[in-house]
Amino acid sequence: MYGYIGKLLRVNLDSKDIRAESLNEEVLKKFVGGVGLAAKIIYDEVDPEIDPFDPGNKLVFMTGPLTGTLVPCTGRYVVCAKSPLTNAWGESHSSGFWARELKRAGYDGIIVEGRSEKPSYLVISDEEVDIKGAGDLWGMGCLETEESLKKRLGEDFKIACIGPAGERFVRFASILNDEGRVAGRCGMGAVMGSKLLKAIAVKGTREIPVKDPERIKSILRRIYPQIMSFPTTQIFASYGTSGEMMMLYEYGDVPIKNFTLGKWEKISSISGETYNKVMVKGKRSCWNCPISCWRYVKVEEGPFAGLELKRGPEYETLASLGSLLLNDRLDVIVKANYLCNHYGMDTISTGVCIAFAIECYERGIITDQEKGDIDLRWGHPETIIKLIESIGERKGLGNMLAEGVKRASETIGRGSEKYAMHVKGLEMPMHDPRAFKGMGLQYAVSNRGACHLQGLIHRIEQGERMPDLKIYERLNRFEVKGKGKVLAVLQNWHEILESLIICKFLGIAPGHIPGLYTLVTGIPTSLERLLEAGERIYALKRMFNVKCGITRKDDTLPHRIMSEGLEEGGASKSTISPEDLNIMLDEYYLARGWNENGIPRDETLKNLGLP
Amino acid sequence: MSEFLPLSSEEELKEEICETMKRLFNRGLISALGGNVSARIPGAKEFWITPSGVFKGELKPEDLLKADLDGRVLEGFLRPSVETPFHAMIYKKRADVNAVVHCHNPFATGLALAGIPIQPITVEAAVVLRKVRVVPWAFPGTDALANLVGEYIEGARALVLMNHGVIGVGSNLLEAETIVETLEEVAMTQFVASVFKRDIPLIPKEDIELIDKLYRV
Repeated sequence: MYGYIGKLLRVNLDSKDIRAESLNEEVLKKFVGGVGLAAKIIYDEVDPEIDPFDPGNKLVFMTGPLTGTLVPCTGRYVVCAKSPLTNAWGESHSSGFWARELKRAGYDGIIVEGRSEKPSYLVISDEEVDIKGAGDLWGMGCLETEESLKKRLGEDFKIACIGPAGERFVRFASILNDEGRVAGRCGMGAVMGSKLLKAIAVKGTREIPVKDPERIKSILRRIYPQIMSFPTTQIFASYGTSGEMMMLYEYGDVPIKNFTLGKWEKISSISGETYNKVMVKGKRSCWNCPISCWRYVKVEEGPFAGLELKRGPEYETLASLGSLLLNDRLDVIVKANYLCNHYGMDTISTGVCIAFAIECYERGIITDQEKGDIDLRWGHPETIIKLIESIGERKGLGNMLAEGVKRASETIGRGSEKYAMHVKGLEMPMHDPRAFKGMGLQYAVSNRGACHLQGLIHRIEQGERMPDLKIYERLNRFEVKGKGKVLAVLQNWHEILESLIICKFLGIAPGHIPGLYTLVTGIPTSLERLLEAGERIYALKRMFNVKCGITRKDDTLPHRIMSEGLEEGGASKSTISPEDLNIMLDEYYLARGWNENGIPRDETLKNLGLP
Repeated sequence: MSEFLPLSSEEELKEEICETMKRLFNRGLISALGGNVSARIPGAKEFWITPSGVFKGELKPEDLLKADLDGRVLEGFLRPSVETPFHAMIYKKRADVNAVVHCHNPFATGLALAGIPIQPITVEAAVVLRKVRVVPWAFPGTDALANLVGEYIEGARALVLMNHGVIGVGSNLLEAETIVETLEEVAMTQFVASVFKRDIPLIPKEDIELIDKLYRV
């Protein structure tokens, strides 16, 4: 095989059984790799009715055929399981160097089953696999765990691990690798914690086989000028993802004060320009990346002076721990980000939970007794830091918030549900869908809950065209018609990016991808065939969700988005009313070949070769 | 096809396309990322076209793609030119055309932007180019642009695409290349003259009528 290593590692933590399984070429042709292959495994092997923390839930780490190759921006992996936040399909993505090292160690992916009797970690070194005791690592923060394992095993090991939040089943616990790259969303770290698996250390020396490296090199050299000319590539190369902050703010896209304000006079304090000027000391990249969106930061002044993060806050974190909380202090954001990395918690979900708590307290829904000794105030550094610590430690109010904003609001009741910003239980990312109604549809229907990445339809609503995907027209961001069909195509394409796996920040037109895939793997394909595979993968995940009980009723948006318009800003007065959402859902289901209840029709599944 | 124009094999055709691209690139009519060329064996229902997004000055025959007259890719690894739809449309509409060159001629495109039509200022302008029409704006790569080009290409050898570039067509690659080069030469001459003089002298009307009679297509 080329591109693929050809082997999956299956580790059962109950029985300590360790097996290598060959990849099936026919399955690869249908599901490509990465998230596609993980979806096939989860669908086939995980009981959809199982509790996500049950040992029967499986945690699947997967790379793709392009991972770790000379194709740029291919340092990524995906990790999937039934999500403890959504009780349905869960997936999370991370980059860095761990994924490439896993392939070099001899495996395309790892299926983790069961639950270890005692805390443990996995060592994979040139195909040799060992389950070791992690008693001494249990309780350690992520960065410390990584450092400790590297000292123990050798600096050339790459580590993916959880922190105390994963150990304590914080439902939005993350998995960290490579000094702060994060698989943040959907609580995959909590599933890892439920298996008492602290870390996976990988090291390998084998070359990843590529069918025609010389020709790939020749093509890549000559398409670089176009890749580097793509607008978002230029922005991300210059500023990191924070470079889009002010542009998105003008659209009314940046959430402020738990999605209640459209303007904030202090926004420029946390803009990409300010951040890069004040806090950033350098930039770094993941495996084979010409963009280098990764920022190395150091706090020079104030109470956190001297604090360094090798991978500093990105746009999502600057907003979720900044504007969403009316926090204009970059040093506090860096500190909060550090704490989230220490505990191993998703910064988006953490920020949304904190905003929810402050708003509920302000409205008298959370009482003084419930809040304990934490002062719940907007823009107050101590509120943010103490709440993060209390969530990570599962203490006091933090223990309730550690359940995620959906469950916390259900526990509190008293109307608090209206201020809980989530879809299907996954906290909303930092793009206000009232600014881009297509993004509202994307949040509503995404298989993992509120997801800004699987589709990126707001780029089309900003004017980007994708002729390769037959998306020629700019979509008016405040209109609802025409969004369903375009979103379905975009999601199909994103399934392919996440199956190959190639970073979405790479400004490469879809039309180049089939050729690169063929030159890496030797398997002939076309854009049409890849898009069909994308549709198949998307539908399979939906079918897993349907079996988990997901239907049209769950393809919805928070009350605030559907009923409260903002007073000012670039999206003032805009809402996505239930009627708006229904129009978009009807069009979307029709485009997908699903029935009016959001369930794929038998004929659709048959055409896609699905059971 | 005239007996004076020997037929190329497909491999020779691909070499010729790359040579054409190289010359146009060196001439400044095709830029690093803008412009594309296609050609077909006369009468064929498919054509070879340059890829999109690949540095235009260094194309190789193996980079090219083969497409049918509906624009579907039949062979090749790379991303086909985004303008494949209008190349396909031209071959569909014009059985006499075997090569299509799309460049970003700065002077010809600039004059169109300024609303100045290409005028019969030289014999070449009148004979080689004939009437050069301006195709209204449509977004590159769209079926809308392909349909407009299909409409305007009837009876034309050269077109200017508003806010975009130019198209030259011919029975072989050298002819199509000649068209876009002549167009740029004429546009440049016209521009230079118009810098110094508002009403530049044109070839007299009766001579144009004579040329029209002599060279009726």
